[in-house]
Order: sequence, then C-alpha cells, then structure tokens
Amino acid sequence: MKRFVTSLTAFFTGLNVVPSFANSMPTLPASRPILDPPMPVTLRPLNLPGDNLFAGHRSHSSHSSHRSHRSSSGGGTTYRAPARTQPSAPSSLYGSGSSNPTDPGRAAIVSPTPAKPQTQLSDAEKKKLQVMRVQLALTSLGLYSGSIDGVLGPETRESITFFQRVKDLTPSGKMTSETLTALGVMAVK
Amino acid sequence: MRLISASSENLAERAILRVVQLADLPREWSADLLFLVSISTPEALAELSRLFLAGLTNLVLLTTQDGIASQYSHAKMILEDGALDVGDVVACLPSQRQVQILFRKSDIHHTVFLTNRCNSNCLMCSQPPTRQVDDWLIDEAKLFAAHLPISPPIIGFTGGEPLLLGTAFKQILDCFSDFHPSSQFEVLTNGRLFSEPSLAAELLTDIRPNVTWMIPLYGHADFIHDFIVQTHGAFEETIEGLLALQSFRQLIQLRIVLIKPVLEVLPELCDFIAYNLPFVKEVAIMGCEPTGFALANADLCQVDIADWAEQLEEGVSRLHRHRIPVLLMNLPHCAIPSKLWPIAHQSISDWKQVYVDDCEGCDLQHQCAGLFVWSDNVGWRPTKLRKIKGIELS
Repeated sequence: MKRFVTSLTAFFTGLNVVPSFANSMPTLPASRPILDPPMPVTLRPLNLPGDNLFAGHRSHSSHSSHRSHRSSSGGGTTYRAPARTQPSAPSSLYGSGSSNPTDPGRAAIVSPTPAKPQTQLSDAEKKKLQVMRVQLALTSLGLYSGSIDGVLGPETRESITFFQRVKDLTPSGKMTSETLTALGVMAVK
Repeated sequence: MRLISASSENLAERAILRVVQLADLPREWSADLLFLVSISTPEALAELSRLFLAGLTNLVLLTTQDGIASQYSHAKMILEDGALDVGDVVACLPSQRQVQILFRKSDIHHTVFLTNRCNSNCLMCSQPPTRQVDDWLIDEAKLFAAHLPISPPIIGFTGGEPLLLGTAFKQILDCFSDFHPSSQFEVLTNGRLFSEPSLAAELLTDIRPNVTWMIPLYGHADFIHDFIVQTHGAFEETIEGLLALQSFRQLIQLRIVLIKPVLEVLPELCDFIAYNLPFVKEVAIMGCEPTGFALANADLCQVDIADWAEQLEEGVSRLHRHRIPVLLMNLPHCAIPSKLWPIAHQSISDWKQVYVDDCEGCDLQHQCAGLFVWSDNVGWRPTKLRKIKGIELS
C-alpha cells in the first residue's frame, strides 16, 4: 500500500466515516489567569551572604567524630570544637547513606537516575553536596587526599583550615562564605 | 541532529553528559549528573585521576589527544573531529563512534525530541514518523533537563507527536519546570489527542502557565486538512483539541505550512481562523522545509512562493483585519512582497540555516530568514533568489 493518497478526490472518496463527535467536551474548571513571563536573573557574585546555609555551628555540631579533630588538626589553629553536641540529629547527615557515590573502582558506565533540582534537596542532601564540592576543590588544589564522601570529618576540616590560613582567612575549619568563594565553590541553596 | 565523531570507553549507549572544564567542577558538580571533563595537559589529567580515585566516579575524560587518553583507564571520550563547547549537553553513541550534541549554549533555538511516533502522516512532514516504541526518550528528556547548565529563555518540545506519551508528557513538562522555572516552553503538537477529554484534563489541569502550544491547521474544511495530514477525522479532532486548550486558557500558536493545497485556500483558511478561533495568540505562516516527506510529494509541496504573493498577502490581511498577529517563518525576504517583511522572522534553527552565493551583497541578509541548509542539496529553493538593494515598495 502506498504511504500517501496524493489526490484530494481519491482521498475524499476513500473516506471511512468515523464519528468523531463521540467525545463530548469535558466539564472544565474555572479559568486561571495567565501570569507574566518570569524575567531572567541579573548577574551576581558567586556567593551572597545569605546563600550559605552551612557556615555556622549547625553544620557540624551533631557529629561526634569531630571530637578527635582537636588532636588531628595540627598545632596553632584557633578552631575550637563546639561546646554542645546534638546526639538526636541523624547520622546520615554525614553521608553514610546508600547514595554514597564513593566507589573508586567503578567506571561511570551507567547513566544515573535523573537528579532532583537543588531547591528540592533535603537539608542533609544539600549539606552533603556542599561538603563534597569543598572536598573536590581541595582535592584539585592538592590539599586534601581523603575520599570525596560528603563527610565533614577531621581530615576535611584540617584541609579547610590549612586553606584558610594560606588565604589569610580566619582559620576556623568551617565552610564560611568567604572560604567557599575563595575555593570557587557555589554554596548549595 | 548534530553528530561529531568520537570514540569512547566505559560509557553506556546514549549516556547523557554535560561538558565542563576542570576549574568549573566545584561550582557545578553533583552526584546525579555525568560530567565530561575537557582535559588537554598531563597536569590536568593527574588532577582528574585524583578526583576520580577520591570517589567522583561520574567524571569522564574528554580529550582530543590520544597520548592523554592512553594514560587514563577510566571512562573516557576521544574526539576525532569537530569540537565540543563547555556547557554542551551530549548523548554518547559508542556503537556509532559518535557523540550527539543535544544542547549548546550559543544556539538560539533549543529543542527536546520526545518521540518519533506520530498519529498523522502529513504530506510535507520534515521528520517522517516511525512506529517503533521509543519510550526511552522519556527518561532521556528528564536527564537532559537535569544536565542543562543554564535555563534557556525558551525550550521547545518536538516529535513526532508528544501527546502520544500521554501522562509521561506531563511528567516531562513538570520535570523541566522544576529544573528551569524561568523558561518558557513551546510544544509542537497536532493537538488531536486533546479531543480526548480525560487526557486534556489530565495534562492541562494545574499546568504551569509557561507553555505555548503550536498546532498546525491546514484547511478551513475537514477534507482539506484531513487530506494534507492524510488522516480521516483529523480536522474534527484538531478543532476539538483547540477548543479544549482554549477552555483551559492555554496560549496557542496556529501553524500553517505553505504547500500547494494550502496556498489554494489560504485566504479562506485565514477567515475561518479569524471567525472561529479568534482566541489564538498568533498565526505562524511558514515555508515548507525541503526534507523528509516533502521530497516524496514534491509535486504538491514544491512551490515558488513568489507566484502566490497575492494569496499570501490576502491571507495575512484577513487575519490582521481581525487583530490576529501573524508571523512569517522560513521565508526569505526575496520570496515575499516587501510589505510583509516586517512580520518575516529569522526562524530557521541556526545550525540548519544558511545564506547562499546568491545572497552575497543583499542589503537585507542581516534580517532575512535565509534557507534550510539542505535546500541546495535537493535543488529546491523557496523562490528564485535575488539580491535586494535599497528600498523596495510593493
């Protein structure tokens, strides 16, 4: 059979009448106003003061392993462990969950599942991503040789502190906005 | 489809990747995406190896140098010709030793291909449909949304007939809305399936207000439209679909492709639109793309647009009389009367648009739609091209 009927008459006379009025129109909800199209955002610096969700104590106060940090962080640092711990916080905050991508032997042979937009990540996921980006930047600089696992552990803090000292920032071992910007890391919002 | 020769190792067929520079990783890295990291020095290669071994297994080496590639044992891609830009989103085709560019920042038009199946069989189809199930394109579209490095102002969705995906199409639109809330969407569909009330309600209830539906209409009578799309009943379904879209207050662009049977009824078709579909946002009247089925039906599709100037002017003026905006697309200025130049757009996607030798020295090249790049391969131009000098009045 040919794919086309190229004569209008032949097409029309070959017509099989199909009742297409069979579908009645749906009952429709009230109309919605059409909004103005959103405008593009303007250029802005990498990190604004409010962007960084994980600069303060909250970001690492719940992890007990950092207690050992004082002894491992090297002499001369002014970093002090937070006075309080919050044992009720979930331990998965530090990336020990099943989504941990650390698996150095595996090549990227499979497409990952579609990501969620950053705005839809949970706070724990946002924090893990931000720590991983910091670890990534420190690894690139040759200042960190641990695994990029999203865990803000002693080794990571030590690297951050070292970087801060090199850059003449307050050597706190924390992911402050200035530190992120100096590392070229985009704060995860 | 833009393809570049490239061999790759340890990459899945149709893996979707974003091209990045090493220095951009701290800003862009995310566990759910695949990154193609452009590397040209041994130092950069050492850095990439470090990152990979530290756990970032979603980094893939991209290089043009065999010397660099041979020193790296993880997933990699070696470009053999052409180039990828930073920010490109690509699909890897290892079995064909190629890579397909899905997105490039510098492009003006960005489209997402959703299916190659269609429920029409248009005489001038530029993208002949196939019957094979291609549901994998659904997941690929979602991955594509996640990999886009920026939110383009406009994202087009095309096929095939996207509505054949049913509710999966809604999922795709929602996914793009989540990742790119600032983008406007344009969907190329024949709208026929919106004649199904349940599908219309499912897709259009609570839809975000950033979609324009681009629906073709080729005749003011059922037998003309049905003949051109080679499907009985298509006209009724299209009209029902248009009315369903209007009842959900959707933005509609009607599209008319200028082939012979359409040109013969163009003024009447424009009257029909003005009287019966006055709610449409605009009407796009466009030249036929000389590829696909248009070549098979050249006797019906290949016209010299200049011969039909009167019909074209009459159609446009009937729509304008009813305050319906008209756009002319895919038509070079020398093919249409000068009074229509202000509504003629540079509509051909930049990667498939050219100006030819005959255009050299034409005063209007900077604002002219030009030709489809395959026009000259098939010896089919929209009219006999000529240079336009100075002011012309028609």
